[in-house]
Amino acid sequence: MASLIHAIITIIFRADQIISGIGINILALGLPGLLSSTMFGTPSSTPPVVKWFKPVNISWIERIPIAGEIFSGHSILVYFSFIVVVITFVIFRETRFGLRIIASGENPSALEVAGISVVKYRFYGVLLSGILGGAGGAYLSISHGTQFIKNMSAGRGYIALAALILGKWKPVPVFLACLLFGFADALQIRLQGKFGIPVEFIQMIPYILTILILAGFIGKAIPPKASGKPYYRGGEKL
Amino acid sequence: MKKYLKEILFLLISICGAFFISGLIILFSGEHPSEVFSIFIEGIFGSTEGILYTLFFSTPLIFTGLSVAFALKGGLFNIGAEGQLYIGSMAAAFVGFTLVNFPPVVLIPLTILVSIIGGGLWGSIAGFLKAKFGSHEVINTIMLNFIAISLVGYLSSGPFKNPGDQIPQTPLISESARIPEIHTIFPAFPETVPLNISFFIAIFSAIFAYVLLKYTKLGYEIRSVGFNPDASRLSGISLIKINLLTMFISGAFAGMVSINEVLGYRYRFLNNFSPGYGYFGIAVALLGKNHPLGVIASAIFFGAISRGGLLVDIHSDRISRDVIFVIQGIIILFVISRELMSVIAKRKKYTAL
Repeated sequence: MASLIHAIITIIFRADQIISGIGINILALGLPGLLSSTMFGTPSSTPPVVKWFKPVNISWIERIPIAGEIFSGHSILVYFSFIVVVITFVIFRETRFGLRIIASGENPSALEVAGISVVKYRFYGVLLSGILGGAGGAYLSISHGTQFIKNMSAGRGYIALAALILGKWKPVPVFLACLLFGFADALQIRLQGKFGIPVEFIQMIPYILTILILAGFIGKAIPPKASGKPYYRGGEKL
Repeated sequence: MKKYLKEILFLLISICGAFFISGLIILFSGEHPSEVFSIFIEGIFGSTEGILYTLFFSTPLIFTGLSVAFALKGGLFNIGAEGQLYIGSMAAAFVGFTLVNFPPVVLIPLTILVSIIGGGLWGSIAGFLKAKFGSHEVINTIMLNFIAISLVGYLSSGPFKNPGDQIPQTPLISESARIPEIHTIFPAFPETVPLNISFFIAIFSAIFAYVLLKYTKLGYEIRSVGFNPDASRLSGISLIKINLLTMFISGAFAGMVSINEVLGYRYRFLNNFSPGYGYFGIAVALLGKNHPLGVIASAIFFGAISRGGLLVDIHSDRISRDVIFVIQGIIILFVISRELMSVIAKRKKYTAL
């Protein structure tokens, strides 16, 4: 839903995409709390739901030594995220749909010349992105935990941006970058209360890592050429 | 003149649209929109107290609005006002409760200066990263917010914690570091409102920002870099220097929130005191069209919304203060959809042909 609004504003009205994204974020900061309070009377969290996604144990994975222990017993959404990586990879690599989305970011006028609507494919792109973002939220609220808690994402959406840059806009490297950030987060939780380091400093690790990686890698990463730029049809406005 | 009228008309439409959509949400929640809005308006304009509270709420918003607007003038999007104001406030509180034996003439300017430097330095980290490595200031300032919040959380619950208190907060600052409340100057005003002279400091800062941007060489260079960094670099302006200075000044404005919060209101650093002033600053700057004087007007507008939202929150179980966030988010989306108007206008032209 939110990505739909974002798409309408940025693609049709060609507003600055970053500012619109921030506006959506501020709205999203208030809206769930408001809805939660109107529906359940508790503004900062919803009542817990029954855990929809119980950890699944897949027997053939369990039997693999060492790796079995790591990969088994997760929520089904975790496996789903692995599958999504593969699907995304295949879509961008093999299908017409994926190639058109890439073209709408790399060279929109070429796409237009080929008689394909840039607006349409940019819409698809932002919508799919919103759906995946929503899936991330669903994992946090109904699988990882059991309820919605205000500000529970703790900046994960932004960390994802850093992972995107680190993974150079490609699905598989982005997946590996996400594993790295996940590792930093897990490390942070494990280190809490140990070695006498205050919790607050350990909590900073993922954020500091993000800044360091951005500073170190930005030079090598090349975003899609027309990414972030409004697209005007030929002659409409220069 | 016609251009300005159009601009104002557009802002009014945005505001009405935001209220219309929030009205729908209120209706959905089972309350009467008219009843809720009348409490809202009554709370703001119904009494001298209401108006003074509005000004009190708008004071930190003027500072953070200036912070965001100033950085935008230099082509940088500072989302880090939240972190910068925490660092500035902690610095001010530290000086305030450490140097207790200083007279007010020295201590008040000193604490203000320290909060400016604290916020400014925190802001310039992002400016440095941008200038040196080209990494995007939006992500960096957000990350720095999380780091700053952790840092002051540690300080206020660890080394600087007031011994014996249950909640994480520093000791009270020295009597001589406090600035007077407004009713001590104008005895006619009610004593219950914590409005203090930091409101006037905020107005003064806005005028300072206006003059700096418009009439000084530095201001010209900042606007030039914001308008076209490549051309500015070719004409001999140092991008690194200007990026750093822009973010320093921007962070300094955010750090000055402490004048209201620490020197004028709580007289100490309370952990998590900010309900998101830094993020509200984005909305304030956008609605104020990034103009320092426009920021004052829009900060007062958002101050009024905060005041009204607070009363609605007390009145109703079903509607929380989050309604303030919703109204702000919608206004931002409306304001940036500026081209909405021109697109519609164009469509009309086409159909007319």
